[in-house]
Amino acid sequence: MDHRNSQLKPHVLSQLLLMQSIVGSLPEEKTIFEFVCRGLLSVPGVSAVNYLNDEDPIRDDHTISFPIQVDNAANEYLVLTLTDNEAFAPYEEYLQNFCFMLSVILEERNQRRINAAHQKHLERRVAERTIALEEEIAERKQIKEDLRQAHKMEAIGTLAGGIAHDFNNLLAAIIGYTDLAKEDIPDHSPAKSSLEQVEHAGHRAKDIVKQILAFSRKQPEELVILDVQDIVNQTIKLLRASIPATIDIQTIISPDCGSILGNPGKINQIIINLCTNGAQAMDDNGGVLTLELEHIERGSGLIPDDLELMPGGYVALSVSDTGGGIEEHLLERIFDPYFTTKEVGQGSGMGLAVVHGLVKSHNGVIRVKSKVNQGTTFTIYFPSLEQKPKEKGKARQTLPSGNEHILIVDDEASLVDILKRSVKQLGYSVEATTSSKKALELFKAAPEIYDLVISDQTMPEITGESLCRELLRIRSDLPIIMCSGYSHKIDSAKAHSIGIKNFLMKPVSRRDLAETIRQCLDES
Amino acid sequence: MHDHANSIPFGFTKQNFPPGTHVCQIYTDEKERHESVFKFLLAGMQAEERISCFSEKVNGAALKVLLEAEGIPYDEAVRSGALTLSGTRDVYYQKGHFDPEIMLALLKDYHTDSLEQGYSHVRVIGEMTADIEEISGGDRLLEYESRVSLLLREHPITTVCQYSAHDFSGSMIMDVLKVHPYMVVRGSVVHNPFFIPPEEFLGLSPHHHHR
Repeated sequence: MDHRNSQLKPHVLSQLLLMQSIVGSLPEEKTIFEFVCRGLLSVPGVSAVNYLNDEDPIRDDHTISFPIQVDNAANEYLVLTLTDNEAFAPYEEYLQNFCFMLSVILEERNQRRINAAHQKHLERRVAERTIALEEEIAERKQIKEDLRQAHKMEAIGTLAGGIAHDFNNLLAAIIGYTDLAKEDIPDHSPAKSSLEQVEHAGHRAKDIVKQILAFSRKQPEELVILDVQDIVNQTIKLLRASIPATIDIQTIISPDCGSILGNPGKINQIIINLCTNGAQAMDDNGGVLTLELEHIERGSGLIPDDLELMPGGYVALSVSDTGGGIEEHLLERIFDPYFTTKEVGQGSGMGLAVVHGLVKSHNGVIRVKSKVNQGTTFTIYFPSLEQKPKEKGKARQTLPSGNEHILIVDDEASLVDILKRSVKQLGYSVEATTSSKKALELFKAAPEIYDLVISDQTMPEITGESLCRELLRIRSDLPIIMCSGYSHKIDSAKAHSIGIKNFLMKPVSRRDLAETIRQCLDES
Repeated sequence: MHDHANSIPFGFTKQNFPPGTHVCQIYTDEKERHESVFKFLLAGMQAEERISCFSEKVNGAALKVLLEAEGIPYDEAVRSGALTLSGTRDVYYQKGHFDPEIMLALLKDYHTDSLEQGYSHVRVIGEMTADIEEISGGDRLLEYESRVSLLLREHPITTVCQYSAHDFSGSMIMDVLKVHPYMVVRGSVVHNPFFIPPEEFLGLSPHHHHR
């Protein structure tokens, strides 16, 4: 264009500069283009200004367009309609500069928007990762705590196992000799009552050892199909005598509550511990102790959703008291070993810890609900079985006996003495020794004269397990009963696997001993 | 203008301007708008001028705290009429209609009355709302702004008109610039090269005098 005859008007250039200053602060692209189009109408020779989106406009003598790069992919075009080309000509290069500046401004705005979006995305990612990390940290903390607890339990278990072995041997002697002594004195003798007290105390001590082993899960499992309602009814009878008369015991037992796979002794222990705990909570003022037993289905709404239980039926055993309740901050600690709120001497702090261990060993779950001044309810969910327990035969009044020849070996002289005397009283002929080496020599010398061997496990020279293997190598049909105070090296399952007929935990009652001997001999 | 001396401090810029300066501020965020209002009012209060603020967004309680922190007795200023805070819609669109004649008369009377009361100077800051474009008489906004420039020659009220860049279209913002001789750009008050003198904008003869 020839613009030699045209002159620049300074205020038009000022207008372009001012627009350049303002557009940077306008909020939207649309606002910017509307503003610029209206402003450029002040440029001499221009009659209309439009903007086109990403479309190269058609040019003619009265139209001029300026591309504005909005981003790498898109262009806008400012399209000026001219009425006086000559008047406009001096401003063309300024318009080109203006549009270049506009491109820079718009690109920079776009970049800012992209950066802001990236930053927002990053912030969201950081926030998400922070939450995930916090969860990971909490999970690790929990795992660490679980591991610490497992180590603690392992240490307690090891200690408990050692104590249990020695205690069981001592208790076997105490209970065994007491039993024998009772046989030797007449029924009307005052000493008989004293001996019964010794025996009773011995059995209580035996229960304590069982509790310790149950707590540390070291006790061999003996699970049978059983009706919990039978055990509840039996236990209530026992408890009535030991719970204060100010406490009313009520039972709500559903007749169709079902059977579970469990150990009767352990279920009994659970009920005793929970009832004792509830009774102690009401000791001062009395109250109501309620035992409830019912069958419920997972998903019926009766089992709290937060309990991690497999689908199926459950036998729910609840023990409720109307005592003082447990404060919320203490609830999470009540199953900890040695935790107690009772005064010194009134509670060991092991009762609920033992319950917890026993419930877990039955694949059950325990839940506690408590309100201060209103009472506490413990509910245990045992997986229910379809099968019904076998009918029990009537207890035999007399001990089974025999006249077979039995070899007894135990390194504890007192236990050998008790066993020898007990077995002899049952009519059997007995050879006994405190040396496992001597026992092996005796057997090797005349393997066919022995009908049964009763062996201890933990012995110097040759262990019970090695002795039994050797005896069975010489005579594979030999029936053997192994008695153990406690050993982490052998249990009922392992004993059976090496060919031992029966495995008994010391102390063994005379009835158990008599029945086991007879059963072994009859089956062989 | 009666007095051409640059004697009026705006507060939000270090520059002083002659009384009756008519300024347009296109603001993009609330912080920018609020800062201008507060500093403009504070400068006027400190100079013992008579001041009016027309806004839908000014919070009297917050303003009181800020002004009192600067030693301005807010309650006394409001009670005496030295400071007036009014909603934009209450002032500009009385009875739902925008009438430039009423507004110009109101400004004229406000100035005359202020001088009679002994105030040395008068300033007004007003925020325009975008709904004026839909209100009856709203199409006369540019005529009104142009006539304000004429009025201020006789009644030199220092005036700042605030327009939100978010609420008004780009073409409207450009049109608004054409009727304000000054504008605020990046915190500074500058001569507006788009300004069209009122006589030209209104199509009046060069010797026109405001009624």
